[in-house]
Amino acid sequence: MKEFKREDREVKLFVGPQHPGVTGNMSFEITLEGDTLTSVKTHVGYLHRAFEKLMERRLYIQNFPLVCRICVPESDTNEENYARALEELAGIEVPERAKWIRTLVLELSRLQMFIRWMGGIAGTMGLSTAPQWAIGDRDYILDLFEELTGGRIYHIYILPGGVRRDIPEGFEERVLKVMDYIEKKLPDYDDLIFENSVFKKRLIGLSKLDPAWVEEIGVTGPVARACGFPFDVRKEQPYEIYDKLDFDIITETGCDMYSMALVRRREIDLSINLIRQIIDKMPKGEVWTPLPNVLYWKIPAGETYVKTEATRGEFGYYVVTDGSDKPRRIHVRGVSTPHAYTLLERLVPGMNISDFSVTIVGLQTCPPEIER
Amino acid sequence: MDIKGILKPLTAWKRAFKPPHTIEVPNKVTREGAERYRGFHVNDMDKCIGCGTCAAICENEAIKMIPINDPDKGNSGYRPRIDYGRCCWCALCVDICPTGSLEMTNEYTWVRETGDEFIFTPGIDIIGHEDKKDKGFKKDDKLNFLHLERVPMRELDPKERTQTFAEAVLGYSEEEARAEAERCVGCGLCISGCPDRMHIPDYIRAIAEGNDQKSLNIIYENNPLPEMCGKVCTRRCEFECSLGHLGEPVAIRWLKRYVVEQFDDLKKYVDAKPEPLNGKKVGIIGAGPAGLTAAYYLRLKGYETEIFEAAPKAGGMTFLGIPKYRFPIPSLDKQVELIESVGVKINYNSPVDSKKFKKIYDKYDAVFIATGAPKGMSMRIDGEDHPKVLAAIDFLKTINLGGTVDIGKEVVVVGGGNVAIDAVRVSKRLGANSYIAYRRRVVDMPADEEEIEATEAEGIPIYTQIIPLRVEDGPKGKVKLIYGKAKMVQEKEGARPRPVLIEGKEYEYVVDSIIVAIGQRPDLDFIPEDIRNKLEMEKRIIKVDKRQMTNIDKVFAGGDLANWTADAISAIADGLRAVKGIELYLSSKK
Amino acid sequence: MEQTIKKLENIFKIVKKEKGKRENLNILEVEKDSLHAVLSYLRDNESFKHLALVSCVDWIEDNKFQLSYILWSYQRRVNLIIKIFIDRDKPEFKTIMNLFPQAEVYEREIKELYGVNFEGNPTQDEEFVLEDWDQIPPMRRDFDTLKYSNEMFGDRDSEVKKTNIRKIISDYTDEWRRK
Repeated sequence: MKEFKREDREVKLFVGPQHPGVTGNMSFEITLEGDTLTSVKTHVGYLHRAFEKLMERRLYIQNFPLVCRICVPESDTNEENYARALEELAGIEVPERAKWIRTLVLELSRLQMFIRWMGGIAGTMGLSTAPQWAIGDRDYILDLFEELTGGRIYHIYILPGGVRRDIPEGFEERVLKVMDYIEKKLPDYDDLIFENSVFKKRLIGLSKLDPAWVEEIGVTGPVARACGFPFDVRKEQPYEIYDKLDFDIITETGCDMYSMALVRRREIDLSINLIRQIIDKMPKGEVWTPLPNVLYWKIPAGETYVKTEATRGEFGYYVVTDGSDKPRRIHVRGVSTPHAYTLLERLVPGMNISDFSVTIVGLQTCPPEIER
Repeated sequence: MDIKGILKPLTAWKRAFKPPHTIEVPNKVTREGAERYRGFHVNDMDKCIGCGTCAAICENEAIKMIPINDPDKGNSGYRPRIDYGRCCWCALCVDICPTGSLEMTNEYTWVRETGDEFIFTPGIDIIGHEDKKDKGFKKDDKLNFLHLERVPMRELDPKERTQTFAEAVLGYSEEEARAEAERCVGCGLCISGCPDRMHIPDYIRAIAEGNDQKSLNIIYENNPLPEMCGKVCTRRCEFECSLGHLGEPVAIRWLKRYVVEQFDDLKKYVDAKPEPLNGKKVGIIGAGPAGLTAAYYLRLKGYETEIFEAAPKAGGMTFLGIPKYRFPIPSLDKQVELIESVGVKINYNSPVDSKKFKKIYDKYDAVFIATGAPKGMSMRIDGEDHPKVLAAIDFLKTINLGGTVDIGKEVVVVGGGNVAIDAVRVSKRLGANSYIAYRRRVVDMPADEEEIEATEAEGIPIYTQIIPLRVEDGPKGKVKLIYGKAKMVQEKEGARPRPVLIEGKEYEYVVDSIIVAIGQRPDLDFIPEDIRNKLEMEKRIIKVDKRQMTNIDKVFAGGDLANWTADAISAIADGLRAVKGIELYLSSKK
Repeated sequence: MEQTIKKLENIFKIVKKEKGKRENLNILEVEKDSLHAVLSYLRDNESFKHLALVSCVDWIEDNKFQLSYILWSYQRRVNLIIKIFIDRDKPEFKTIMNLFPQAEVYEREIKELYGVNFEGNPTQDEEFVLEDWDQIPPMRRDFDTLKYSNEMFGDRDSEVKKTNIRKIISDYTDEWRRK
């Protein structure tokens, strides 16, 4: 056994690869001086499923059951990106109603993800009441998904040309009912988490970003918005029908973990608001444009980059086609890649070890989308 | 001090008195899945045809087709087996199932002791979810990966086409053909319907990909008369098309027609390289589809082939019997030209009698008889030998050879098959007021559905349930067909209802001509008597084995005189089988 | 956007201009030696500050790798894909870490999955997702995943091979088929 000397002040520790919160399996090599971190090295690879490679040997339609598994809790953004990329390259028009339904699905998905995250961030700080509430409340949204798409987690609902099925009868009312329920529950979360003095004490000032980093290293999503940057794909490049909805980009100016948490908390309100708007304004009509024969569907050569605002930020798909019936290359831009590497490395020096897992969850890193 | 921040979280305690989110599961009754939940598969065995489209779209190879029953027409006998270790419940298989047999229940629990039991064949293996069939993920009318509607075929206006012998069906344009070919899912069940087992999905795929020449060559692999088939085939393949279960089958016949129409000079595009002659000679009697097919492929294999044909042109019934508005002469010539170009010798205007038959029999190493069924059958009623009673086949033959027949102003055609339809449409084009009289109902007519529709569109009446009784002289040189009405009697469950004469009442048609089209039979008078007596027959056709061999040495037979289906594609299939049979026979003889 | 491209054309050599299928997407192919200059010009003068992704495409038929740099301008709301081609036999290029620090991870990933060497990237040789990989870089088109999986893990169920229904139907009662 190596003798420990007082001069060896630096200690190396491995964190993970078990879930360090609600993110997914990843591990960190951290260097400590006392209980203060000096550096971090991120390691992924525990969830690598070679999806990008597999997609290159499958038909376009066969990739839908794959893409939804790239980010497990938020499958719809993947389907949306992939479907939109194919529509763009193949020149397929989507019926108006399908666009509205897609937006509804995306917002429901965002809402359940943020509720889950609320539970997650509180859970990492030892407030284990919150995750239990969050998982329970999120399930009501999963029930809605089950009714609409036939699956609770993997929906495989958004296909090129529209959506797979029309909304079942009475679904709108049930959505509104769940929204009312969640809205009624939100003050409880506020009391328990966001106004909790322990929560505030720990998060205010934690992982303070230099706003210059945001543009320098490509930070997006709630993290960027917490630094006052109004970066939101829904506004800057409105996809589906976001340009027809009335909303403002949520920003905070604290640049710290608490601001990020507040952005996400306010996003929940926004999502509920948007869902109500969508249900209110949704037009009638077709939900699906027939595709060519999917078993032999060939897409002309081309390339495109499409993006969607996921809960974590800009979620992009770079799709290259070569005119055959299988994609040449699909590269998924996982939102968390710059967050979990470059940003985390800059945030960590000087941080207390007990705040480390809070930071990871606070940045909402998601390893499956980093490694695909 | 943030007193509020310390106290507020304590309000969470109020939840301690609220009921939990979780539900208690009493007495093993589980929560029911949603109406469209994607649970376990069920497969309706009565509907499933084993086309394998579900296995083709399954990206995880979770679906494997395994043999359950014997294959049948339009049914492979295979059924999908699902490996739930691979299945990801995406339900793409449900959405693409051409028959709608594969569905999912809303059941999501299934407990077994070993993992192997999670591989099962829905519909065969009972897992206890079958009764929950009414709920779960089902096919939706709106979302359909299948294209169920056929690209409509353009036709001449019915009014216009009754004035002319120009082709009534106009054929697909390139765009239409590509769109129609794109519909095919490539299951291959159509092959089970085709007597000739043409490589249908392959040539359709080639059309969809824009490669017409490749398609043409695939077609020529086992059919030397594709344009004829493309225009007048009885298209048994289309009745087995998997898309026909929920929608309209792929227009296989029109697609074949499209491909061959794209090439004026087939010799340049068909990749037909005859092997050098091997010294063996085959004599073929009759240049109909069977004879031409046998001659063409035997010649490609290096046999010297010579055809003896009584008519001035090759084609047999497709030339003599089928009216020109369905199958114009240039189409025929172009195909025969190719057959002759590989070295097949056709002797036109050389009918074979018993003396000549003996000569042929002695001269050649094998003889293939394919003279078809040129004689019209009789109604077996009094007065049938009246000069105004014509056999449809003789009538059509005379017209096709450019002759004229005085049919007068009013014509009744007796019969309900394709020949009857042809005869009535031709007499309409000759300016007569003609109509059909048939024993049974329209649904019972053996004629092609599309032909019946076209006939009705041309304003030709079809009178049904009519039983001819006798023919008599009419006034002013006319002729009378006396008939009785029939009622349909269902004698046996599932059998075709039989027309039974309603006694007592008689009706009559007073017309200028009566055309009888109730079937044809072979004419074997040209075969020398000693051979004919030995020749084994099966009712009125020659009995052959599966190599088209008769019981006489060296003699093979095929076409309408040796099969009961009596259509061109069966004749081609016979010809092709004879090629293999003759090849085998001659190579074993040395 | 057209003005920007014109300006670019005046300074650099644009090999190929493509318009994306979407209004605000442009694709430019530039010479590989000028890539750094193009990127820094776009970043500093044309507000393309956000590098969304660095990607690699294997064009094995042309024996080339395509490197794509996807840029976004928050002010102009335009996507720009800058692409270069490098020799597939000698897959080497220079890092763009000095311009966009987050490119370090993307380059590391490309190094592992395609074997493209980025000169100047200090961490590119570290393992990204693979451990003890002894085959050719797996995202290359000539790496056969199915073969590797069968060799490495065995065929789980040899029966699960796809049944060709077409063949079964054609073969049935068809001993005299021509082919």
